[in-house]
Amino acid sequence: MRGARQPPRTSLRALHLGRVAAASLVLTALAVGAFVQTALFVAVHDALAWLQVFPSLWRLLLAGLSSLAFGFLAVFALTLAFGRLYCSVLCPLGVTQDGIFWLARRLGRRIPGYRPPLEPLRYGVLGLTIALLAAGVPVAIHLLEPYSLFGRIVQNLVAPGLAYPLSRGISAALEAVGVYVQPLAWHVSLAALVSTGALLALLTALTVLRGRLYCNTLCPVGTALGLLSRFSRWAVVVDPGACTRCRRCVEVCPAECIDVEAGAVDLSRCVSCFRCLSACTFGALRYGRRGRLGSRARAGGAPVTASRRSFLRGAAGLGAGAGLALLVARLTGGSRAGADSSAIVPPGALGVSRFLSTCTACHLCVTRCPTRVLQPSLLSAGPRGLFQPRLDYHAGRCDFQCNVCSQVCPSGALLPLSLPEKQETRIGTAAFVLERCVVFANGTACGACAEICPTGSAHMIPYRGELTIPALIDELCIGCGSCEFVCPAAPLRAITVTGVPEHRRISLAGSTRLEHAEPEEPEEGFAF
Amino acid sequence: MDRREFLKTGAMVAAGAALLLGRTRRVFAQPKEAAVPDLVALVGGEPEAMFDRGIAELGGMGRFVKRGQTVVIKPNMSWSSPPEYGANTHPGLIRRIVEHCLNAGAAKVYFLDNNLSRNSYESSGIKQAGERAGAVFVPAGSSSYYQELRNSAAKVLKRTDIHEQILEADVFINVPVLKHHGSTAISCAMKNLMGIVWDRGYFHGNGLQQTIADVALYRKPDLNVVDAYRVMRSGGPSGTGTVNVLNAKMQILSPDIVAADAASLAQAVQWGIPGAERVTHVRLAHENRLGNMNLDQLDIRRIRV
Repeated sequence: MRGARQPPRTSLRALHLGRVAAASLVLTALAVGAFVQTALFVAVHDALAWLQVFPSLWRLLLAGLSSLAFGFLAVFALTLAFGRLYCSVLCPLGVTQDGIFWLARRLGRRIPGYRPPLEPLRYGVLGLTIALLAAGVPVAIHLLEPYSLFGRIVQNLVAPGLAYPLSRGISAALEAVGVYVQPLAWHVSLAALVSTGALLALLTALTVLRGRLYCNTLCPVGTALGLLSRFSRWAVVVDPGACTRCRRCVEVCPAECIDVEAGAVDLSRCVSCFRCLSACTFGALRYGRRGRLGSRARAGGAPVTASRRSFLRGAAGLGAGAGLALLVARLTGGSRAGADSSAIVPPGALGVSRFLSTCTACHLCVTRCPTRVLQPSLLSAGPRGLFQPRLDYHAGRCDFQCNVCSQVCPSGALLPLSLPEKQETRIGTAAFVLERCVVFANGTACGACAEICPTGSAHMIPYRGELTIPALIDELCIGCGSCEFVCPAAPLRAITVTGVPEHRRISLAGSTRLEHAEPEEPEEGFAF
Repeated sequence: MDRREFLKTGAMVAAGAALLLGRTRRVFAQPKEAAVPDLVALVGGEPEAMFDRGIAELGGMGRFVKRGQTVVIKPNMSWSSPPEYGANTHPGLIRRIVEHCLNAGAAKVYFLDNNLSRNSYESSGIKQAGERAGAVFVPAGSSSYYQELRNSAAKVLKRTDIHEQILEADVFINVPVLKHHGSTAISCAMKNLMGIVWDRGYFHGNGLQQTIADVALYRKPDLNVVDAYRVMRSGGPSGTGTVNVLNAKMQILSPDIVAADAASLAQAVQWGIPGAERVTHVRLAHENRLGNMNLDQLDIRRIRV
């Protein structure tokens, strides 16, 4: 009966709370699983990373079918069936905003209510993003893609703010009872901390002021999924017969997508948070099957913007965005920009220019790098490389026995290398400057570089009297930076590595490090 | 009582008191104590068997480890090489030493090394061997584990950060592997102590020979066991495959770190390890009174197994 108050149906409330529970688990798993390296956490983290839309799509394009990067297809299917559940359960940035929105409401903040969609803006941004990617400029992804921003929040804010202090505390507590567990190695990049903090602050402001506005205007993934969700089989559906226009649903909706006058939900913007289902006390909202695909019946909750005018507006935005992208690409030099920089990029990148065009700057490799040699950069390789990681041989060295970065990259910017492949991948070359060497300057013995060189490229040769200095076998140098990292010369190191623009596979066959022979028998007797 | 009786009584009281106070050893003739050598050198056996014999010659592990004490063992496990390369201490030797310590009644046995390469603890086989024998592996890769200390007796290394477990344990056993080293010619007992400090770079930048001679001042090992079972003759410290590995099958034990290094050095010269003649850290440590490098002054037991 119209106007009869009733408490929300249990099943709807359960749907809402179940959604919240699932979302919380996903967020925790993605945040914790970046740091905790036990098999279970890593498996859960990697499964959720596989489902992230943009990294998965990008990886399929870059690494091919063998990468099995089909997670985005699973999400597309999910969206066509059930709506934008990704945005409220699987997307870590979406879940974060959900939490911020909840907190803001608890503190009394109310957002304006229903707003019409901003077609030119959201399709413009989508067009801009795609066109820039095609031109080899992933800056729009660095600034706007949700998994990328979330990864940077974890690495540059959560790590120094929470994970590192917590691991120190746990390590100290365990030490007190005689159990030794090494704490996480501490490294904070100030530039990355500030820039990520600024983006998070902007996002928070946007969420507090206008709910999920980012998700429905700036997020290219949200816009793309919105194209699919308007046809979803199951959706939040209005029963205009029961609706009393009390607007309780409008008050709680973060996506500003419930048009009470028209009695319909804009499914292209609904993020499936299900708050409205718990809010309605007249049984006018349910989560149910719609009529025929694309049905325009009011009770079916057809998107209010399914009109020719809005389509044209959207198309115009898309075109404008693409045009702007091409202009930007032309001005910044496009895919050639920064290609001559001496930046050193991780093994698996295949080359500097390719890396600059493909890395989404999610910083998962930075978080997982055991020697802390991978460091975020701001603009060290031009605007194309915004936030992308570089190897910094003053912060660490690329360990010869490690290939973690190429194995964990979710977006295909780093293609997986086996350990022997990585050991024969040249990412840079070393050069020695005698005048800076402590042997030359102080007349004391050193040899730190030759001691640690894993391929035998750096070795000691006679210099003066009993002193020896390093020499390099260029064919064996892979640019791992171990020599530069340990060189004690200050302020400038005597042996430094420069990146090579195209990574090359070399052969370590000439390395004396790997030869084999039978051990010799000694001559008899003690010498003392 | 007259004077004679007083003197007799007094003498008996004095003798009785002397007996009671236990100072009888100087009164009664004692058989000569079995002399414990200053250094034991063995050749020809497996590392475990040689250690069993060597430690017995030195008076048994009980001479070094008392019941209830904690022990810290410092092997060389810095290099991501398998045992055949001779770059790290033999894992079986570490296992055997741990077993002896536990049998002597040690409450806890730790082992650590501030390594240079990510997998070195596992690829050397020592982490597994030590843990299987019942020792506790101590990580060394965080500066929070190290304490800064100063030592004015040092000539160059006047201040450094030492791993807290080296400082806290009751007994410190140093178990280096003898091998060639590209910078110092020899890596042995004193060089092995570079793995107990946080900042190794300081050594490289301020004269390796003197800093190596200084580091033993911070905590002298109670026992040094030099593993010369497989000796890398060139291409050290990380090794050049199994080329230039000598099947030396030797082991040297001594509480005196300078003596252990002096004997190892003499052996290295005989084996033709390049540059061994120009090693100076042994003499520098001897001059700083860390031990005795003059082997002809020491009681050395040489054993063929």
